[in-house]
Amino acid sequence: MTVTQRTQNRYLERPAPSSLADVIDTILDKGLVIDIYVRVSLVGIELLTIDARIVIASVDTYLRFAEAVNRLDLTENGPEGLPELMEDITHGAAKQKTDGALEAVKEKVTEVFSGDDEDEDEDDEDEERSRPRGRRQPEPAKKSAPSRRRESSRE
Amino acid sequence: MALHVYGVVSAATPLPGGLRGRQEAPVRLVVHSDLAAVVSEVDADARIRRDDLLGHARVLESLIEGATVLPMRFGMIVATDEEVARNILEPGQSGLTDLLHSFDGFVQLTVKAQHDQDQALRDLLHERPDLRVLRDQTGKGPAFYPAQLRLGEAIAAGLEVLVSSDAAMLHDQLSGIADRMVLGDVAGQNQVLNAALLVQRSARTRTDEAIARLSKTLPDRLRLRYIGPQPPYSFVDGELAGEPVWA
Repeated sequence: MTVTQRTQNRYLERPAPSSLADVIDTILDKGLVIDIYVRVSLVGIELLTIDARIVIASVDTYLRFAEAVNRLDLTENGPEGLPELMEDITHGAAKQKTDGALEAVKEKVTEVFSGDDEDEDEDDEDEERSRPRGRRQPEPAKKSAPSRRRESSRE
Repeated sequence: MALHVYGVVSAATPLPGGLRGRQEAPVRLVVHSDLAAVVSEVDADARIRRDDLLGHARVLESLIEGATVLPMRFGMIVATDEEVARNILEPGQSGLTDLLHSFDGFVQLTVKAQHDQDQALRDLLHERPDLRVLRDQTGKGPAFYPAQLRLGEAIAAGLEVLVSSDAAMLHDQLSGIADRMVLGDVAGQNQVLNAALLVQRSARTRTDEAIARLSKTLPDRLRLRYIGPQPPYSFVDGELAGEPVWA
């Protein structure tokens, strides 16, 4: 993920610009709103952010936690904190390490928009494939449609 | 074509040279009296892509480096300059002016904390002998299914406690750093805290140093991300909500 590369070590000397994940929970969720001008259909995006907020408490989750704990080597404590290891982790080793365990749900949301994300090799894909997976894309507004989706409530 | 509205600034605000917004269109101001809306031309029918979201944020983050900005939520599309002036700046004039005034000289900095899952699990097992016992009772195969479930459920509960206590600790530490702080939703597994800090522009270096110091004192399981400077997204949120002028 873009974000972790900006903090290659744990020492945060200055803030970094928003990544896509940050953008999703700020500009889509916060800021001034003037209702009649919410033109862009955010229906699909709203669904995704709701999805992201469901913290799954299920049998499946429990089993994956159990699996993660069973894989864990409790004696493996020493090398933590070495700069090169930290860097390695922030470059994606951590992701593999927790493979099979739960990933931040947010990541899922990020993927949806990551069609041209240069940091995710496997996501080097065309525009078509960057649509939300398994989810219907919100209809883009028709050319002939009125420019305000809630025009009727306007005056 | 239509206009994408990024935010509102005072009319005297100089735009950074060559600033481009969504779809690489040049960013400009629509001025009305003392206020100005920051806009760029946009093909409103184009599908929203990640660059559109990032473009919105980038424009606002460029502006906040040198000026006070009231950020709009993504998705405000207005047909013409006249409409921007008539329907946003004119009716909102007193409210927007007051808001600009109250955020004058402030920026938002966001601190997000998350757990490194393996390190959090390791810490949890070190602290909790009962969980180690549960772990030792598990094994492979269907016969161990109930034991695995018991373990997983206990781990999930244990992690939840760890998240809460780490969040409370970070909250205490951060509240000394900012003028105001708003906690956002914490979405997703391993996420611990999402805190928006409102700080004076002049206090930014001091804030950077305080965050750097804090990040060094945290247990290994905690990872901080420090984002900004941003316009005061989290602090304008709701400020005008419910006001008739915006309905």
